[in-house]
Amino acid sequence: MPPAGERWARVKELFEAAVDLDPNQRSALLARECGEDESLRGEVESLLKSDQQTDGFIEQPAFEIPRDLFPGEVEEPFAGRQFGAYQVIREIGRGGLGAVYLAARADDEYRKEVAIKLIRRGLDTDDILRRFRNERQILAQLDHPNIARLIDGGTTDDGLPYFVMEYVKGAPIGAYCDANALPASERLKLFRKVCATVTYAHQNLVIHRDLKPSNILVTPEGEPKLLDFGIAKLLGPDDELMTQTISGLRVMTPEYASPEQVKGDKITTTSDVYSLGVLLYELLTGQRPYRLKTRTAEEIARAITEQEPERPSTVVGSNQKSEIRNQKSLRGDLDNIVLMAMRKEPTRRYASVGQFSEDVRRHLDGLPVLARKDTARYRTEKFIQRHKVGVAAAALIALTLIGGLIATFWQANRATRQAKLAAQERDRAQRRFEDVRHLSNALLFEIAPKMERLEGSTEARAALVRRALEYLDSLARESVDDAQLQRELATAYEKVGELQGAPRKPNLNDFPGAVTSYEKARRIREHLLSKNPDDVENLRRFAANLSALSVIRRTVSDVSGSLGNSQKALEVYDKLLSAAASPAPLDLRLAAAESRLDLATTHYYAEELPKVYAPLKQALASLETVRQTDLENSEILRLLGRGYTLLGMTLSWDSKQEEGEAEMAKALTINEALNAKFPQDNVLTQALLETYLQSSQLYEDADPARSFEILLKTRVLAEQSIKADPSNRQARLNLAKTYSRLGVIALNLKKQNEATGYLEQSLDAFAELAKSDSNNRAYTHDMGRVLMFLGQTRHQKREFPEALASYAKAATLFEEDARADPENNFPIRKLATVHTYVGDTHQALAETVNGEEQQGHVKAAQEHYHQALDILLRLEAQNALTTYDRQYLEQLKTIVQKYEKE
Amino acid sequence: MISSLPREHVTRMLIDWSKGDPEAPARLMPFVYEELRQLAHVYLQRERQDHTLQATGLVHEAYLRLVDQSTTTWQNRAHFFGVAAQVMRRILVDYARSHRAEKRGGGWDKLVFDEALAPSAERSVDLIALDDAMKDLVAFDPRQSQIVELRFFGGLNNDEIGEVLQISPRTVKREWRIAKAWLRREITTEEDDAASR
Repeated sequence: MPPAGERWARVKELFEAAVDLDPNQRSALLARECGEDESLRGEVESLLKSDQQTDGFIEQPAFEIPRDLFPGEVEEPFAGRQFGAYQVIREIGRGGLGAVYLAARADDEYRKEVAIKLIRRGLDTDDILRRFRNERQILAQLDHPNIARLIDGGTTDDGLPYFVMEYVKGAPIGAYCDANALPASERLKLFRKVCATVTYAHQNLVIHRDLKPSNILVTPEGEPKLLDFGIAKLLGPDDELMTQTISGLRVMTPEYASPEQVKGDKITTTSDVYSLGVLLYELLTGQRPYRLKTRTAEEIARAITEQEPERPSTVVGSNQKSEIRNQKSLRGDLDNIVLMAMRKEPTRRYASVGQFSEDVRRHLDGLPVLARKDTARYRTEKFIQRHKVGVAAAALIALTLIGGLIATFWQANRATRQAKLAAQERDRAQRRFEDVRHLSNALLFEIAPKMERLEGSTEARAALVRRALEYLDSLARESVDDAQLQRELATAYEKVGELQGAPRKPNLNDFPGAVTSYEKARRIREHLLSKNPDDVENLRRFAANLSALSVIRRTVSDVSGSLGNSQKALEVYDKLLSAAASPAPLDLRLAAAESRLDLATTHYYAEELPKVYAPLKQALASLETVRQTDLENSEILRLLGRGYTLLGMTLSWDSKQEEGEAEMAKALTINEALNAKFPQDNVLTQALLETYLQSSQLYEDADPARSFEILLKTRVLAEQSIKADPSNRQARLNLAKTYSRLGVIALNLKKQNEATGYLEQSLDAFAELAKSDSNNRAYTHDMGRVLMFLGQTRHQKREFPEALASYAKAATLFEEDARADPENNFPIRKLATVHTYVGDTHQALAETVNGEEQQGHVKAAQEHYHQALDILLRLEAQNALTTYDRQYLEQLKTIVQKYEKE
Repeated sequence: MISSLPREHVTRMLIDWSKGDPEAPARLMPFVYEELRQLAHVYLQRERQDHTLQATGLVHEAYLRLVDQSTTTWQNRAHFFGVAAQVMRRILVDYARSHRAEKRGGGWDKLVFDEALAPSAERSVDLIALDDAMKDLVAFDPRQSQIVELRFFGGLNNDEIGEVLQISPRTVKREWRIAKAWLRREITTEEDDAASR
């Protein structure tokens, strides 16, 4: 029963008094204070008892605020502390890596003031230490009146490095100009001094990379001083510019960062040109160049990389504080100068800070300037494409923050540090560590999905992946005992693997990398399962992992590996399904069905037709059952579409044409409906494309005209996809395949010239894909096949030498493939076919000539048939022949025998 | 979606609050609520398998969307999370209630919270029971109830709570301890009663 006002106050008072006493003292106190009032005593005692329970009741908040992301943490004051010969007076500010203090020589009568820059405790990872020393080294090399001078450096007792610099008394350049009401011309002169300083730095091979108003102070004498070379970089032969940028905590002030910094591209001296451009913009207009509605990392990044800043002269008109700034003086040349420095493409800006400064001088002297207005046409062309670069950039920024934080708190966990840290701090660090881990999961999983449709910035994505893997690997090393963390790690590895090579999603096409990442995850999960075999959650993810591995392995033609993974995945799914309550959850059933489809697909690719049916039919049956409960579910339909396509293809190949056509028709109906319902969904579009391609193949022999028609539809759809998203590899691949199929049909219809045209277009398309992705031998394999068709086309046209040339190229590609991957039998099978075709061509040539030449060709034909036979016999010996191969083998035997008889 | 609302507006409300405007929290609440509700909706939709709320991400996201960090201080932040705490409590409890499975005999369903959110091993707090108990508490000690809300649902520390309620951190600590003892006793008693029915 809730106690009423005064009584409650009394209860609290007594609780307060008694809570920290030992039991005897407590009894005594309560006896004394409560007297006769048993219920009061009882109330207090029961509360005390409740307080004694140490079960951590609501001690942990429902969730934690990731407060470490926000600046302005209160820290221990350093006033009075000694750093070598210097004594700290007070804190001046906070930089990227630590804090800056005002200090003076303890022994000096003149008390000359200096600034001491120190790394924050807890932030001293190797990485950050390296950067700190980097800054120190850079400053030591620079000796210029407008750069804050390095005086001294050292290490504290705690092992933290610091350096002592000239203390600059001044105001940030923007404030200085406003406070002194400087007119535009004076601001420009001041600006030129800054440029001269930056030029000096560039001449000493240092790029500042973080130029902004707060880093440029102006002394009362009017001299600008450049500060904070915190993320400056010494230009060197190693190109680690990008990694450097990413690894820092609060790497750059986002609004002043150049587009290439934001995108993670290469940074050069022109990046400083850009930043100076932004600085000038602000000095002249009093405003920042980009209009931002919110200040999320994503929006800032997008603004910087895509938004056109408004011309300074127009901005000034709307600015209240513009008594100093004259619209007229800005219009024209000055507008162009500023905007030229701020161009998105580094190569279109001023080539150097010096050039920039010169143009400003020319303006001041009333001379014509270099800068020109951007043409309207150029701007329209450039910006019609929609970049998703903003997301990648936000990811980089976020990962930077996370990276820095993770680095910090791993450090706090290291055994060596534990000795020094108080237990309290350790707990605090532990909690933060978990916060951060949790947050990094969330960000990684939120950002990663958004990155699916990125254009350009492949480097940025690759960098993100590289960085993520580094962190994960370190986390893995440190967390062997922590089951929960291990589970999250596994998921994180899988996410990265998805980015590297997920099937049916735009990815980095780094398939070997993807396999490695998934394998890391798989091993972790296996380990966890060995300790806890019934962990349902882990089992599900384990099965999903194996499925993903099987698909990626199939993509790189590792058939046996793929089959192994598939089968194991299905075992796990079956186990889960039988253990689950009935009816089992939908997503589990769909995952199992998809896994079965993958198995069937692998058998199909391996040309083992009889093995396709069992898993395929099981999958279809399961899907149809589930469909009954949810007719419009697009996931179920997508899988059904895929299943029927495969079934149609298999039946047709298995010489059951009519049945095949019926199944294919089902697939087409489903996929066309899905595509119509979700036209923006790329996965569905590609599924439809594949169905078209397959069905065209189906009709190829029986009804070439129909096949042709379907292919033309395919081509249109593929071209549309590519136009909407030029980086869409899947669409390009489908287009290349479409061309090759068009070529094949034309060939069947004896339209050799058309065939040649299509096939060559196909070759070009594949070659382009191969160029952008040299790891993936699937493209070269397809090119080989197209070359074979080309050869056949030329053979038909009776252009035999040309045919042989094409075959030779095909053979080379297959031989390379075989060497690159000796486990894989696909290339040598195709090689056998090539030899057969070459034999056919030599045979045809033999019929056109006489005498010795004829003998020559006959012999060549025989040799090539022999080679083809040899290959197949070798495969037979290895037990690697498919049923299809066997027929082929018999045919070849017959041919070779015929030659031997003659 | 509130993104059409200028963030300056929300930010300004926080600043007003820190300057002592008594109306500010009430004015702020509906915006925060709407934002969090929408975000929670998205999260709940997404988390098909786990059915737990990634509350950290939620509030963080709402904060990033609604508040201009360049002009606010940690005090403003404390206020924001104070409001967020109230909202989160409502959202989480509503969610728990709507997903509660009645056991035979009218017992309470223990909601196991997302393990990743809480480092400690045993982490099943009956949110509904807690919420009910807090409603009783607020009747005779509203300040304590607020402290619990800010701390448990908001994740604020004692300094921040002090800032929001304009009391000293020591007072916060003291009241928190008592409130916790009281709540724990109430909830345990309820459980015992329920079990013995």
